[in-house]
Amino acid sequence: MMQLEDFLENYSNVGMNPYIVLNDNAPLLMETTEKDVQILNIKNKLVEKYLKGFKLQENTFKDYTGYLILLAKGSHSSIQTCFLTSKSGFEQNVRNVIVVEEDANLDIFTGCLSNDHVKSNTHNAITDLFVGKNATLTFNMIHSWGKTSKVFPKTVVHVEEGGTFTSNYVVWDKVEEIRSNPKITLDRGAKAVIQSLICSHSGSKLDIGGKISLLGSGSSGEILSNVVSQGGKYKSMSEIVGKGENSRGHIECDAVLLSKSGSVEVVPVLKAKNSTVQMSHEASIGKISKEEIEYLQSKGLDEKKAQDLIVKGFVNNSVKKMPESVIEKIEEMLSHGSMF
Amino acid sequence: MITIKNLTVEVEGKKILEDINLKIKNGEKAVLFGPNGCGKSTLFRVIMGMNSYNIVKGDILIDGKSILKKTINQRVDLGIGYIAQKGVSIKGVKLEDLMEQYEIEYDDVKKKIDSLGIEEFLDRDINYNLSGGETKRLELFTLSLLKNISTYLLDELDSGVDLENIDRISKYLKNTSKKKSLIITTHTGSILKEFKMDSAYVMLNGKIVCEGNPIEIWECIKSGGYEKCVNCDRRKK
Repeated sequence: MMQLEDFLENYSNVGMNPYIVLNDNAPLLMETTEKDVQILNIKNKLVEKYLKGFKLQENTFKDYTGYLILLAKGSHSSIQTCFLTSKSGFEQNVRNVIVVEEDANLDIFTGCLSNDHVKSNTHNAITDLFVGKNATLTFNMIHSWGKTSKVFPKTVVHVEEGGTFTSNYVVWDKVEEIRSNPKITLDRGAKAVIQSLICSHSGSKLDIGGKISLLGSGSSGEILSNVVSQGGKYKSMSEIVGKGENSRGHIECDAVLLSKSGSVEVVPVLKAKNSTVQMSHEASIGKISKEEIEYLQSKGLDEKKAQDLIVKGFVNNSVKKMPESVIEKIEEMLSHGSMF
Repeated sequence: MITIKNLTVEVEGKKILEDINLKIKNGEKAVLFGPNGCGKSTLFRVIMGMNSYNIVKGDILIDGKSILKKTINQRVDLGIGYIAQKGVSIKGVKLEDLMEQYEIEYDDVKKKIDSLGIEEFLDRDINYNLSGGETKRLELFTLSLLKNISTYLLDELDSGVDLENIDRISKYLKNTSKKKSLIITTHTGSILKEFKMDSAYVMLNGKIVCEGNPIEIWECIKSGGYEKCVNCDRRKK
């Protein structure tokens, strides 16, 4: 796992501001109240005023930290955030809300990590994301929690007419457990894409899926899961519910099995509640083909190098629709050799 | 020098190669004729150590040493370069990713890239959506990235390839294989027009039944088909 200093350096080199760090349950230190973007401690009294009228998940935390990010109408911004735990056995509770107003465009880059000495920490999160009319929110998350971390986010997203929400979720380093099933509702013409690249290490228990409700006419949703199984237990329950006229949904899962142990369980659920909806799903789970390994061996690569190159290809293919900066981070993670 | 001695290979109890004997000297250019399914491609895959075939008898030697216990890549290290009849496409693996494995810089191989006209394939998935001729050009390029290859095994280099590509491939091969041994399989014979071979062998039902002058054998096959070879083989027996 990366050291904090390296991580921060890594994540601060893409020229994005401002930079939010949520450490354990300590309050957000830096608040911003600019015309375009406001970033407030979730406990700031102004938050209640700003979120009046928004339907929020219940905050069940007693001790917690968190932020409100509010991007004003027509604004554009990129913000980096980082969740950090520094104490063993600590339970971090995060309550976050992001509001992207009409015609605004926000890219969020989130890294999650714990210090090397931290063991058995838990990260809980309750997150509400609101994407306004014709607005865009791209939420990029790269995990780097510890091997014994447990991560339980509850995320609810609402996208108004013509808005777009994209989630790029990457878990490459080992983590003990994740349970993440965001729920997304889409109004007329709105669009959501949930893409994930997950490495399921031996001893890990990962439950990573999601639900998209296509409420508005012409709305569309995609859930694309890519899994490299190294022996952990991976489960993905992905559900798309088509209610709106001419709405479209697609679920896809590709998994490559590198270990004899572990399991990959994929459950795609498509519910058509309107005769005009179009829905599909594809799934492919299997080990690396012998033909591909032998082909690369005939190019002089030994079996291990051949397998690594094929997995790298699988990863490249999985992330090709993700932003360049996320792809660069993934390439860096791969080059650190944590898996290869 | 590559030597194949009394090689017999079985799949599920059935002989697919039987008592093959072949000796290709250093620098020799040999062509292996035979109808589809006669065992030409299998012979190459067995030489390469692919598909975990059950070798029930015989041996394959490079410069007098058996290679049967060697892995595929170890056989490549010993000097065997192979191009299969059909290139394998691997999702997400680009030609330039493969080049990185050899730590080869673009400038070092620019001439080969231009000569084979494969510049546009570098950032595409290997062999993905390529025509027959394009695949062969790409495969010849990957072969050129390997060091110390002394013997080329080229399976159906001319099949599914248009005339323009045959010409290009033949010229490239002439220039790059001067001092190398070469075994080419073909059932169309197109490459023989452009490329002079030293020896020829005919394979039928997993056996080598004839050897001789490449042009004479090819003319014979052209005039009477492989049926003529079958009858000739019967007469010999």
